[in-house]
Amino acid sequence: MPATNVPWPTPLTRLNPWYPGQMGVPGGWTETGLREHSTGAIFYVDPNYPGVSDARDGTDPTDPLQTVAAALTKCEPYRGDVIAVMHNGLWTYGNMASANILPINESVTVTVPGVRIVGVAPSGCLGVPWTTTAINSVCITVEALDVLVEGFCFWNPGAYAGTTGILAQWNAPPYGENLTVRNCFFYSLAYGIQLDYSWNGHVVDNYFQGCTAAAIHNPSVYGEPDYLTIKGNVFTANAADINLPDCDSVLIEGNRFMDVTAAIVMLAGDNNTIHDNTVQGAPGGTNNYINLTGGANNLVSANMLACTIVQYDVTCSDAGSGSWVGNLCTNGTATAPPV
Amino acid sequence: MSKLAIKLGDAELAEKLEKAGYRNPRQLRNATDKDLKAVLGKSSVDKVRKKFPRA
Repeated sequence: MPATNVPWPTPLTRLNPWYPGQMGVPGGWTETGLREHSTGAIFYVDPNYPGVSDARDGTDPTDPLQTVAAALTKCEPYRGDVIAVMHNGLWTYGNMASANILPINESVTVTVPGVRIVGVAPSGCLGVPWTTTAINSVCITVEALDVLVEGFCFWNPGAYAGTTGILAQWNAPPYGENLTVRNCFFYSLAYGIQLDYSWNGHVVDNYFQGCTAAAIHNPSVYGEPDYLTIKGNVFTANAADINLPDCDSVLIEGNRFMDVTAAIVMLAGDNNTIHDNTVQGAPGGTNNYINLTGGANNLVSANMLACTIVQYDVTCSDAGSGSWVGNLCTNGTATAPPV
Repeated sequence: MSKLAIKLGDAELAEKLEKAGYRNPRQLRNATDKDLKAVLGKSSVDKVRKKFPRA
């Protein structure tokens, strides 16, 4: 499960005792005190902590910040900063009267490159709950290079339409590219992750459930997110799973598509590799498994498909543009691309 | 090399487009053939259109 793989955010450099405290800044005089430069700082965020406030330094876990937005204002480019977000107890099937129930309920924009935002959820497998704030809201908008987001449960607990967990966009500016999203859970949103002309993203070991529009999507306001790696994710009960038309050079490997409506749709995409995935759901459906119509030079290999060889010609489409090799159906291995 | 240059496989063509204000695939898809022809000439328009068909 996603968040069980989240390591404690490093660096955990604890002591620079010659740094003085800063007058009027709670937490500034502690052992983890203010860092001026050099190795990264850890900024702690815990909206459930007694007396929590954003008027703090944030580097002391017992004087945490209230919001991720405040922590982002303290980060510096490529210093190695980590925003460590403490766990909370909000969940749709949980006890809403329990302590520490306040989720992260923010829409933030990351404009500092090289920042890691990590949900620290030692007991929760889904990750630190992060909820949407309004109709069409986005939990995290990434407009900087080399950002990592890990260990969160992004979900839409209200009736908000059009919500998104993470949006990365590149048009120089914004510079949202080389994004890593791993060990997160995306639940009941319209879109899990949207990537707009944002290249070289890694989407690894996440779980997408109940996305009402698409789990991974290309809004194409600017262009296509090429050169992605999408590995080890689980998709279930989404309106669409991977919807990346016109995208090139994307690796989709080792994912599990369960209960699919449209598992992989990459119309007119070239040079993509779709390898070692499992796809199941409605064996009599149309183009609900893998649809590469209009593309060129794609490779679809060693996938396990929960349909017969005859049904494969309907659940999948390619119109002869790619190489389909060794894809296993319920009654044998398909020997040609789907028609 | 710019992103458009990589997408088009042609740095010179991409540079002309970028100088004319075309920064991303969406702008190229939304541009008319006439717009692109004014910047590139007809033969190059075909190359752009092969990668970025008119929206």
